[in-house]
Amino acid sequence: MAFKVLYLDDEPVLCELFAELFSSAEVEVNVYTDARKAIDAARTSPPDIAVLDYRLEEMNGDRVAQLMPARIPKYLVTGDILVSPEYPFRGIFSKPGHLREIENLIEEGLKRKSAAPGTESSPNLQTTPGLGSPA
Amino acid sequence: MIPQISSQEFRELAELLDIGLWKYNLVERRLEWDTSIYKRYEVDPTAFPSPGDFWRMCLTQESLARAEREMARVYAGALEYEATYEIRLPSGQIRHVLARATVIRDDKNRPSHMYGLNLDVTEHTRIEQENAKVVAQMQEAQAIARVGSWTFDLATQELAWSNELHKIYEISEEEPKTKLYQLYRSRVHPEDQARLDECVRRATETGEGYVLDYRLTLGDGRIKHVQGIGRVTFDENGKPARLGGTCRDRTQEAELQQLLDLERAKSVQRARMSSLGELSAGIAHEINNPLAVIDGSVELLLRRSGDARNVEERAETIRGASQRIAKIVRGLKSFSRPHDETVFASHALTAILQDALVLVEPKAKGRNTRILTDVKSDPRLYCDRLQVQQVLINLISNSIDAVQDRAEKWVKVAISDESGATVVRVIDSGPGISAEVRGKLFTPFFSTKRIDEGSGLGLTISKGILDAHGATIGLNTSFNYTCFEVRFRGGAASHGV
Repeated sequence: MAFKVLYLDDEPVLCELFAELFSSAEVEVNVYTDARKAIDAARTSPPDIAVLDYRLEEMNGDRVAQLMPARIPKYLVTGDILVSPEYPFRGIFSKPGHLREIENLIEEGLKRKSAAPGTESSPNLQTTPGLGSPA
Repeated sequence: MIPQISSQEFRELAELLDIGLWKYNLVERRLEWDTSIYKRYEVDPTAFPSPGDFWRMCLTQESLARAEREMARVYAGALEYEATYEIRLPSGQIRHVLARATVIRDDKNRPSHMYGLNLDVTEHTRIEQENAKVVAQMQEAQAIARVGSWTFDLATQELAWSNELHKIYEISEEEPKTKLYQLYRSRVHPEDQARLDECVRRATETGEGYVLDYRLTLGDGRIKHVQGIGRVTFDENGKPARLGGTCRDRTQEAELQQLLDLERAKSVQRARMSSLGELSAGIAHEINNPLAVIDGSVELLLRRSGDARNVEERAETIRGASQRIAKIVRGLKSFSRPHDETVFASHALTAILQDALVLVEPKAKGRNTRILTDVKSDPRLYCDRLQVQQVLINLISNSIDAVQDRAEKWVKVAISDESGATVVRVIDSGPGISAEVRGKLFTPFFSTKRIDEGSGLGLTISKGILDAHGATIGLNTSFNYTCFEVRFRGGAASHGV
């Protein structure tokens, strides 16, 4: 079973680049420019990780995170200088440069998955906000 | 027949004219008084048949000294005697007397005696003293107010200056009057001479008065700022006869004004910097997003360098992203200026609005607020582009803040021509402005925002900028929404170059 990544950004080019960079036989990438559609997708088919842009058209990434299932590990990316989200994100990455951080996340996720085949990919433990990858 | 005046008639005439007669024997040094003078000194002739000592007693020390000096002149050969005395009468009254006498010589040409008459000049002296007092008062007032005055008689070409005018021009009162005009000319700043000459020429020819601010250059290179006011007095034929005027030293005031102008320019500059600071988060986002696009594209290029179509597509994406960054940087540049000066020129208002929108749209986007425009005309304004842009950014940015708690978040900028005036309206979906707040909108440091969100100077500075443009700003309450309205006067003043 592939490692599932959800990416939400209102910038279509960034979504496209994200999909091209990270899609592989082992990684399934689903990109969204619309927050509502991303929330629906996360509810019906929860990804292993969700990467959410902060500035979106209808609502911000903070709000989107609150509306997605709690057990999905979520990461925030932003081009803003300062954001202070209410939601306890696993990590906050700045644009540009966020792609390398996400690549690391995916690699770690893949390693965990191969180390424990058949188990749930995302760890169910709730971690403190702002921490990077789970221990 | 020539009528002869008898001594009785003469005495009556003297009394009528209020003249006192006396005789002084220069050889015996003895004074004799006519009855007319005894009366004047309020004494009986029988009490002082030889009135010399009494006379001396009546005179003040100073008057006596004057009389003695004059007498010495007579003994030295002078043909006439003239002195003024201040006398104290037995009743305590003080009188001023002018004494004049002719020296009579004997057959050996030696001065033998004087015939004299006394005139009571008390009233005359009083008026003179009053005049001196008025002049002193005027001089004091001129010194306090730093106003000098002058008159110029067109017929005699005589120029008269007050003391204070000498002080303002720093020309000594000792200078001969004939040199005054040349000295005055040399003091007027070379750049202001033509303007002042023109005012004076017109005043002389047409009788038109003037008010002119000009400068003086003083010996050591100091500059004084003065205001000259000139007025013409006409003769009975209606022709200009006399030029008169005042000159006020307004150096302190001019220097304060310069400081004030500088401070105002600085505060406009500071407000611009602070609004840039406020917008910077959004602007950074607007740069970082395309940078992320470039970053991702380069990554893909490196990973799939063999794919020609990929190279072309990515390069195109990178170019698009670079252009987006360039646009926002241009926006920043359009809002910057190396110095504080004001630069007026003709500009299309819509171009200024576009520049403003580039900087304020990222903030709107970050706050999920739509900015709409409704441009019905594209007037040209004679204005300082940057300052008008600053006003637009301030109004739009305020509106974005005002709609944050609303379900519907939008700001609309409308430009229209209304009976010759250019009207810019910034309307928003906010809750409106309470009557209480309305009165304080343009008051410095008044703000409805938190202390870290607004300086309370935005609208005050916007109003200051618009005042300098002859434009007005106010709240238009005829709309259902909050509407700030800016009106630029129409016509050549604002549209022409």
